[in-house]
Amino acid sequence: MIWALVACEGVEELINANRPPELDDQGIIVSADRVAPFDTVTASISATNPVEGPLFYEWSAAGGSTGGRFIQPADSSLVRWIAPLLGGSYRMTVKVSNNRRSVEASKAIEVVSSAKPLVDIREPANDAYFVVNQQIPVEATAQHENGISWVRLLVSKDGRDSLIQQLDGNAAGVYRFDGLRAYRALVGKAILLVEAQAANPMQTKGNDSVIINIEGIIEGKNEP
Amino acid sequence: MFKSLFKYVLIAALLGGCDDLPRDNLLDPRNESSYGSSAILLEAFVNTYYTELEYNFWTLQALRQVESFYGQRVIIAEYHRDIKVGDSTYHDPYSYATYDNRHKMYADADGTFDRAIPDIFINGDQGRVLGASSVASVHDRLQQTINRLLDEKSYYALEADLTKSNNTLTIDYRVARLGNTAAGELRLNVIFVKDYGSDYSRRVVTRSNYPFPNEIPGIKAGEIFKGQVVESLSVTDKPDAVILSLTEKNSISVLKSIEKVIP
Repeated sequence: MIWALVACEGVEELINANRPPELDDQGIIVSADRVAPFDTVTASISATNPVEGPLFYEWSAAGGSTGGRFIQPADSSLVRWIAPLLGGSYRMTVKVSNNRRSVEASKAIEVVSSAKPLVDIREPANDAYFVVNQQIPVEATAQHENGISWVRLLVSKDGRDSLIQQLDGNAAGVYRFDGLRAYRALVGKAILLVEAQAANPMQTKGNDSVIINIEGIIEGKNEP
Repeated sequence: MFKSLFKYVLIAALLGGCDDLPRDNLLDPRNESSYGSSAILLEAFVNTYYTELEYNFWTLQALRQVESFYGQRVIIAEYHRDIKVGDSTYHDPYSYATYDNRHKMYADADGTFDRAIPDIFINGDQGRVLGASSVASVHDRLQQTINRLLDEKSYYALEADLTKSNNTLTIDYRVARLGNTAAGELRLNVIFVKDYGSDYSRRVVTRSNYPFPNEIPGIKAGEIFKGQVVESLSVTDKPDAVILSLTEKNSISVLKSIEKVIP
């Protein structure tokens, strides 16, 4: 009987020794999960160790080209992280270990970029020629670290802008407009403008433009 | 005696030299490396009767500028067209029904846009300047294509002699194949033009042999084909000049063009 009790204690110790740290249900708590470039984010994790011994904390952040930077030392339950210049979605991860096992938690942080969306009109080429009633295909790329909320095609003639078409942002970043057909009032030089808005609270806008030539014609034929 | 001997020696030397004369003249059809250049044919389809829009007039002014700048390196033919059937607003007095067919042939070959005016085809299907928004917009596009085509080599030589007798015009023409390859069957297009006096009627086509051009059989490299075209000149017609343009039998791409003033 005594032997059995001693044996049970040994088994319990054995089982406990193999248990990982336990993390608080809240996981990583951050001072802000949407920040500007170079803002400092305080992050903490609450963990308990079910077995005897210390806990070890290993923090990392992924995203962008650098993942941001932790202020050293960064091996405790509370750390400070400096948001990188490049906006976008970052993921902060902490690995909490005891002497035998480890457990991880992560938290998404959005770095809001104040940069303007980068817009590039691929088609038509600058100074391209079209005639009245001809379809003018327009293709552009628009990119931003925080994504694009919308892209618009406008045509400008004699200082007046007309909205031709608006498309929602997409992951591929390529936008094709098929809603522009040259009309008589555009004859001469006109400006095609593609404008994009960043999908973040700053809603910064970027654009690109090309000059096109619209040539006047009189359509018709004597024979079919 | 020495004088006489010297004379024979000189003659012998010259004869020997003649045997060795290289055929390196680039315009000599017998020279396998021969080639030439060609004037660029600009065929414009316009309507000058409808004056509400200036598109046709800008185009014709641009053609005058091009003519002035390039001189004999360009040949211009202006086909006046009734663009809308049954609409007297567009009735151009210089229009002929066959011009619409010719316009259709060019527009179909281009494939980008149906017939509309003003419309200029350059060396057949080698360039198209459709529409106008200013004199400069037409001029710039023409210049771009003309400059490109002027740099290209032509492997044909085309010459013609005109003889006028009463109301009959006889065109004796010769086509030589330059370079070192034979030419397939060809066609000779004959286009009559007249200057009616204004800047907008300087190069009006009065008629052409379209759609029945003269057929020319294949020509071997270095050989010359001789042909004749006889046309009656009506009293009302009275063209000033004739344009001859050469194409392959099944192509509208112009290979060589010349213009001759009718005596």
